[in-house]
Amino acid sequence: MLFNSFTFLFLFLPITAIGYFLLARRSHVRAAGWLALASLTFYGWWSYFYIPLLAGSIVFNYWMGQRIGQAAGPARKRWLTAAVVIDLGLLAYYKYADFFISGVNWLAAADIPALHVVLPIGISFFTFTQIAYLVDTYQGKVKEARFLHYVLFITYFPHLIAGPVLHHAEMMPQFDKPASYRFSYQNLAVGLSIFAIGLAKKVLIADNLAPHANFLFDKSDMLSFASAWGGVLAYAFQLYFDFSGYSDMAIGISLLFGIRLPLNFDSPYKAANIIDFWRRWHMTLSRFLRDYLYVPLGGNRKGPVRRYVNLMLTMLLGGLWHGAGLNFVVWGALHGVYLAINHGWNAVADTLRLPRGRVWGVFSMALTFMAVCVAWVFFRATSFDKATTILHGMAGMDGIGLPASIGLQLGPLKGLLEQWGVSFYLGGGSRFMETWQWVVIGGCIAFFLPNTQQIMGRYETALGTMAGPRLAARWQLWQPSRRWSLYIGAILIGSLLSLSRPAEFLYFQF
Amino acid sequence: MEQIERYDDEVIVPAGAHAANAARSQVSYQRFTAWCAAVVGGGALLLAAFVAIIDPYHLYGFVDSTSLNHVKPLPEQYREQIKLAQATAVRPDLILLGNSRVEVGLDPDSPQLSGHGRTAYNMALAGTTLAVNERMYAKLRTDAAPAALAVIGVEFLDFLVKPDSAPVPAPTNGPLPWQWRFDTLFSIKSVSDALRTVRLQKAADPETMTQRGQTPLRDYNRYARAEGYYSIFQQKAGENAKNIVRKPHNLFVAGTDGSPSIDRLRALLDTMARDRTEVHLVIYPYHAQMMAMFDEAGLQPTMDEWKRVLVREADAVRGRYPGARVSVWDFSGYATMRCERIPAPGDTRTTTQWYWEAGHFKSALGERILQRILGDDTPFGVRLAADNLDANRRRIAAERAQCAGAYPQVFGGAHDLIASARASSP
Repeated sequence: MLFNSFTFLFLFLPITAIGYFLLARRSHVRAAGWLALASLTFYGWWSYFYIPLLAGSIVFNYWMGQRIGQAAGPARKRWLTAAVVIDLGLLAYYKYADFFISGVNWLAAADIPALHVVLPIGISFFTFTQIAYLVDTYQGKVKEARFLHYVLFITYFPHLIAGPVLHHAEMMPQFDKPASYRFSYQNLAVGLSIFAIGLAKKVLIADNLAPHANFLFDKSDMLSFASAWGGVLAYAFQLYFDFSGYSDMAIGISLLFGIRLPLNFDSPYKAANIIDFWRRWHMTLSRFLRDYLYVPLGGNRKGPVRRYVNLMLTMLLGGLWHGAGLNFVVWGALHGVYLAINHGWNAVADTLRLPRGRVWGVFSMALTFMAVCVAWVFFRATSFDKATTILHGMAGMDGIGLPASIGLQLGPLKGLLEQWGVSFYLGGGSRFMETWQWVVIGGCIAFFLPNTQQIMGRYETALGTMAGPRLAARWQLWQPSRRWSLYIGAILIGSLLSLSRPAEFLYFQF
Repeated sequence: MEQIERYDDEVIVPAGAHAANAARSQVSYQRFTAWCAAVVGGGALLLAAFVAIIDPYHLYGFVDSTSLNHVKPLPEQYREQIKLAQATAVRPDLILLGNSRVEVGLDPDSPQLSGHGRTAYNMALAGTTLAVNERMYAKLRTDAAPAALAVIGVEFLDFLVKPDSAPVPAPTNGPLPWQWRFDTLFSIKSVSDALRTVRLQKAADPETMTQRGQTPLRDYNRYARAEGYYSIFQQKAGENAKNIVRKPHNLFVAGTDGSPSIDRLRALLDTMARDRTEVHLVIYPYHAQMMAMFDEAGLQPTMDEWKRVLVREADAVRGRYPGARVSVWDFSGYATMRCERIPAPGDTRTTTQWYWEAGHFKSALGERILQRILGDDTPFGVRLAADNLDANRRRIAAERAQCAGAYPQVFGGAHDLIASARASSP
């Protein structure tokens, strides 16, 4: 079931919410049980076949958490190691078995047949969430141990399929709070508004960018400078609005139930450098990788060389987490290199006390965004060759071509452009124009408008600290006024009109 | 609520906002939610009513005004369902089936058809194969009487298969029966098509689909005026060349004398024979540029064999159903209209009479096809039979020589296009 579907909006969500608040009047335990049951139904809507896997994983990790909590001395570490190894083994089997086989085949010129294992949806998210729980238990940070709340913490449908990656410590107290079980018009109004903004990001922006990105990466053989950049930017903004839209929807839906989820996006394309980017993009995954991979590897505590090695390893594994393929490894490696350069540059700039004014800030942001876009090419391309071909085009090595129909509109400028080496090719004019129209729309929203949390800046609707400013301009701040009900109502209508072409979220595949 | 308010207290807000927040009660949130619901509910009703009145897909017929909604846009989705609904309403006794060449080129509103007392509907769909035609016809028969006459365009390229190709199962997850009705009333596409309908009434050459299912490509006139016919021909020729070089040179699945396309054709002919529908299979009058590209790609012998298969299938259905009336018409070749000169590059004034581009003929040529099928004894088109296949092949060879002599550029261009497509083919 997709958040952006009529079934979810008009069937699943109302039944779940009404049932939850009615049951909560009598018993919070029953309400929590109802929510967990609804979450399993939500998960089973895709494939009931994997419910036993999810349930088994929950029971196993809860039991292992109990063992870790009760053990003392080295036994605690042994329980933790065993649990994490089994969790990662399961994830590796589902996610990387065929990648491993193809690697062995390539290295040893063997012909081991692929297993064609189907990836259970959400397995990366519920596995990571539970590994974090086990580590937190080992570190003595886990206080709440009720099994029902643990089940709800893992299965809680707003986050189950595509994140955010949750921390036990930030969720369990909320499931225990009486306020979470009381219906509130304020939660409804605020949650609905956040959900509406997220839904609009997905169905009105991301889904309109998708065909243009798909065309470049899957169908086009026209890779001139402008068309290659157009397609790559379309993908960059598609992914941004798709994922940030999903995260907003998750936060909004959760708020209906009185539960705040962690913030996952904070205008990442406004980041001034790549370090800042990773503080703003998929924040809960970055947090997970930092706390449970980079820090245990030694972080920056073992000298600058080990810091760069650790950064590289963290990003490589982060890349591999996104998908079992060489392109994801290259994407992770690129970000590892970017981060190393960024840290190195910061050290040099601090030493030389280089000025960092407004112009420098804009230049940094543009450079960061371009670097991120270059890496997205590997993230999205179906093969390494395709990625390098697109990068060729982006570098202008396949010429600077424009559709002939656009050339006709340029008048005398066309001749001038031709003198500068711009060529004009037949066909593709409409596609070109539409691609760039949507890219400009996406770019303006991403760069010049406040994000959802800033719009809702009067309310702390999500957990976590924002990297950017907390509030938008006064007129952009949401309030329960008639004006805002018209805005939210209008974007809801626009979104409902667009539900007839449901498209899955990009992060579901990770 | 408590959680939000708890955090409200921690949030730094502009001066005066605390007082405003304090005064804000649950009532304002309740009112906000109610307003939102009213906007969504009222807006949805208004939009659905607007779409129903404008009726961009000819589905409701509440209003028909030349200043508001008489000319309809070309639907981009649910065309199969929309055409079926329209055809069911029209209850045609002549149906036109095929791909875009029929959808564009054969006019069901042709005066000759009405002159012969025929009520026609163009059920052809761009980008589809006979499987879709067969499915549509089967659905139509459940709601309307079988047609007395059917003109079926058969696409040579659709019959080309790899010898080792496995049968492709029919897709089973089409839209739900109610889904297309809902989406054509309430979706971003239906609303934008309704708005487009209103705008189209004043457009000189709108992209439209007629009430009888034809897509006359009038919008190509605009492109032709802006860029010239040469650009249209050349752009499409590039796409056709890429398509042609990817095609196998084979008609049958290994070990059989059939293929999925032949099976579909046989099933369709059998259904129509049982319905006593008179069938005319039409081999398209491709422009010489397209024919030359087939030739350049080495497909001409396969095309000759394909015609033999069509004749064989027509004979077979007559064998299975003695009363069956099935004709195979070959309008392909290089003579007269099919060797129409393509205007020169940059020429935005010269227009073509017969072709939009090499793959799609205009209604003017479609009229000639209908004229021939309806019984006129014109020299255009040959009714194929087992005993005239060789003579027909010689006719085409002679026409080719004549066209190449008169218009060598088209053959040189076809050579270059196929070579270029082969070079860029993976």
